[in-house]
Amino acid sequence: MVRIVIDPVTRTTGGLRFAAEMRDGSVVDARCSGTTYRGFEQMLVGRDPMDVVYYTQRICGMCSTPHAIAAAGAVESLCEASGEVPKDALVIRNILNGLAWIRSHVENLYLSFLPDLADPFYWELLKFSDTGTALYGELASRFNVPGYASAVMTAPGSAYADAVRCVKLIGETEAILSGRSPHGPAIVPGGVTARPTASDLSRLKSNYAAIVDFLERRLTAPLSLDQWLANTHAGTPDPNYILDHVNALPLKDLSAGKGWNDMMLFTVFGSRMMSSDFLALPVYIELDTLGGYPLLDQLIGFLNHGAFYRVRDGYAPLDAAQADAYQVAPGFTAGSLQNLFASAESPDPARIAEQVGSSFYTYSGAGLAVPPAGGETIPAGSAADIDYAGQKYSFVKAPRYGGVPCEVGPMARMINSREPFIFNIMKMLHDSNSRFAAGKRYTMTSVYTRALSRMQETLVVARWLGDWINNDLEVHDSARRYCVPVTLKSGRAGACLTEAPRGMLGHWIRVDHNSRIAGYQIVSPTTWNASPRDNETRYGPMELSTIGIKTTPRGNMPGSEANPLSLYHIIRSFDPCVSCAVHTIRGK
Amino acid sequence: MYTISKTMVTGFALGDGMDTERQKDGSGLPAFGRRTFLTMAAAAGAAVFLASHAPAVAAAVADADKKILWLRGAGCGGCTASFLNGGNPDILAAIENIRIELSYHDGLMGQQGIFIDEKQGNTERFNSIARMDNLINAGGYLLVVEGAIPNGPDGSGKYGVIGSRIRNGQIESLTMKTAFRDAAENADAILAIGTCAAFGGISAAGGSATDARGVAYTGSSRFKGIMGELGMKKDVINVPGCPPHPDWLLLTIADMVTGAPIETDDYRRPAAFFREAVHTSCPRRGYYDDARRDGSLAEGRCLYNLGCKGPVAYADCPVRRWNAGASMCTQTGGPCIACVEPEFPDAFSPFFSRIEDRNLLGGINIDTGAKIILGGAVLGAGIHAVKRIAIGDSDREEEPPKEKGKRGL
Ligand code: SF4
Ligand code: SF4
Repeated sequence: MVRIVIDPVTRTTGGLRFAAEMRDGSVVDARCSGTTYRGFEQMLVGRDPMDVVYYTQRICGMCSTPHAIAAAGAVESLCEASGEVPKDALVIRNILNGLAWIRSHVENLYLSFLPDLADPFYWELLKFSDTGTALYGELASRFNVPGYASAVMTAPGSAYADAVRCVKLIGETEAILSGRSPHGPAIVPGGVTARPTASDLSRLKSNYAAIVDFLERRLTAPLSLDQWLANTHAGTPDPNYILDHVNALPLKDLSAGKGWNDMMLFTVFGSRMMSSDFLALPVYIELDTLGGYPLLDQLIGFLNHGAFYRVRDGYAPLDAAQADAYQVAPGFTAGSLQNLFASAESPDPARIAEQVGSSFYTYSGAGLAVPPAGGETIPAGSAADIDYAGQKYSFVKAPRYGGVPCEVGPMARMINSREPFIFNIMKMLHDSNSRFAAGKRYTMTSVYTRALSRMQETLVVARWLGDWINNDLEVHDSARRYCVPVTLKSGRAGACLTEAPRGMLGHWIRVDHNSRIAGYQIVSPTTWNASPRDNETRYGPMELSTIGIKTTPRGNMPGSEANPLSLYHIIRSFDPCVSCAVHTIRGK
Repeated sequence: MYTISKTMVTGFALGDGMDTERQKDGSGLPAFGRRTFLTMAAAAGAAVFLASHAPAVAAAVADADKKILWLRGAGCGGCTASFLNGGNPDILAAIENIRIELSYHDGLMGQQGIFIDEKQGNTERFNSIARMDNLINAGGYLLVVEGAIPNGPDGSGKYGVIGSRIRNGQIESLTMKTAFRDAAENADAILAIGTCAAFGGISAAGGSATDARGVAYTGSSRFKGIMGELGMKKDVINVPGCPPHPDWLLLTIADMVTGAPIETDDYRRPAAFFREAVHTSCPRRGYYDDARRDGSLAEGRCLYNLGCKGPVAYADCPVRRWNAGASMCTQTGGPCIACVEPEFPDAFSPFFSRIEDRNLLGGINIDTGAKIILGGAVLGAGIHAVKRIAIGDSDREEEPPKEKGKRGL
């Protein structure tokens, strides 16, 4: 038995530890730990509910906007004002949120996930053929982290540098409406404070064009964003499109100018199925065999709430049953993916409860699984109780949906919306299993489909963002309203469920009879994905997806325990954000 | 009264006026030598400054070649996000211009901490913790601290663990508190970025359950910083802000890597950025002076009655603007919440309550007729008094610590 501990898992927001027990070369047990406690609970209790937006934004410097939207939504629900928030305010919130999603996805892909493909290990794996050498050259020259010694260079990769510029540009674009980024103050209960001028609008449009330019250059070229989505996403696209498309790419030259944009490079060479089975190439990194699940309904589910308001006055904060209430429809799909040909179930927020059997907390009451709207949490109070090898091993709690651990985030949303491109790839993976020798298999959910989901979703959201900026946003005039006054009601509760880029985000608020906060609770995306075991010792999604894997996608290579790339790929494909997961904002 | 104290990061004497010496090459560009980029560039902004003066900056820092060890404690990562928004055309170019090497930053580096059973896996080429150890052993780096430093429970620091390490043949948790202590010991200079690292900020608000501390200060108290807790005495420059502006970070880093003197205020903030109230140059100031103050959000005029703390927040946001000049808080209609001040957030919340309702003015009602007619003048006269009330009195810095009344109002 060998125990591998990755601590810290870097290129995340920090505070993440991952431990894996290996037996006979396979992971047989895993522990995912959040290692910081931030204890906001006393902080919010007793404060003015109007302040929650500015406080909870500061849980996460990456998801500042989604937290602002959820916090404003919780107060609006408390004040029964959700139905009154003006359309122009919701358009501005959509634009800010859309920008936040694109930035978050770009950061995960280029600053966190893709750089692992430039690891020197892959040079050793790929250097034996011309295509392999060319492939590694592309991976390193595009994705290398500055200062990290990939086999061929230490300078930042071209895609890395490009992404850093894009991230900055997105910040500038957000600031036009939000004042600054991160933590702009424009989103408030009742609407937004911003009133766009003609010059704001023209700056937004030109910045938007530059963002699309980046996305096309990196992910769709030579196709435009619209062409790519028309071929893979809109309506009922031809399932053979992607195979025809990759078949037409030249294998002698893997440069971006020849159609090998980052998404194509990943689509083909990040998959054994695509490169070996369909293109008969001996060169691949089999991420389609890594980071999936044993597909059982009781072990895993895929969950999301609604995201992005419809362009009209008012919205429904918790009304998941209303299928067309949001641009992204809420959904739940059970782990077996048996029902992939039917649409996703409509989730019931009342089935969400959190457990602390493996977390450094206790509940004071008798309850073992407590719904976010109520309950009290007490953190481990002495240093001796904080032991990552103990029965309790994380500052992250374990939220469960009807008792089932759920993956949240882009892949869950793509599964629940049956997004055609991802659906089609998953189906190909499923159908290709017959090509594999017994004992090995492709999994429909994997590092490969998780990362592809993030890429595809970035493009889909970019398309919507264009509609909001170019069609729906209008220059301020005296007839337009951006904020309605909200009247605090004492002794009440409110809630808002929405989606952050990394997945489902919920805020729950209770106020006392002086209209001060009596309780506040947040369940963030990473709380779902990075959760530890629950009371019944069921693994959290990240833990579960590592069971049975080898240290590298190619198997256990000599010395690879000291550089276990499989674990890096899996963990970073979830885009964990521990700042969000260990907020534990909960009042008494 | 409020005074600017001149603090030196290193042993260099304060430079003379920046315009007394010109570069000998006839370029007309100012020579840098030990003069401060910060003072010279404060008005221009780091992005523009670093782009137009890159060769001169590079020449000045040619032998600096400083490594940066960037530690992150309890925070939201927003400081790093803001840092990534800096530079022209991007932060990578800015880092290149300043000639610094970001040697350790757990959010950006290629390596990770790896341990196999009770042994460290691999060398610093792959292992981030090995890299940190080697950096600390070699010394001579600039230590940047982001996020507050949890001291709890019971002074153990275990509410904030940032990795593992091997000690006595066993794997153990490395707390932020311990990592800071070890890294600070061998650092050439220390920079606390963001209000959490500088003053505890949001992480230490409302009597935080984690006993989170700033590096040198917690709130406005110099004795409650983690250094006081550890019995350490080291000079620290504070660049607060929730998050801080990337120009503030880049220009301060540029000065620190060359060992240039930095003029700071009583809270060790570079005076170049934190000298004037946000209110002084606020884009909505005209409305204030005309007494056109909004009664509800999104009306487009002065935000004073909605709780704007611009009159008691000292930062150059209105002049510098944020995100490459795109906008700033009050410009977009959000009240300033004084995110750069030592007592943020407690002294300034509820955020939507007026300053005088927070009792920050010691009973002066600035909304009187005289006030309205005189515009900012009356407020200006009282501003330093106001500021002391708001951010705490630092005259007693050298006295033994004593429990101050909570300034949360
Ligand atoms: S009170 Fe605030 S909004 Fe009004 S002028 Fe001063 S800083 Fe600007
Ligand atoms: S305007 Fe006020 S709240 Fe906004 S960044 Fe400046 S000091 Fe902070």
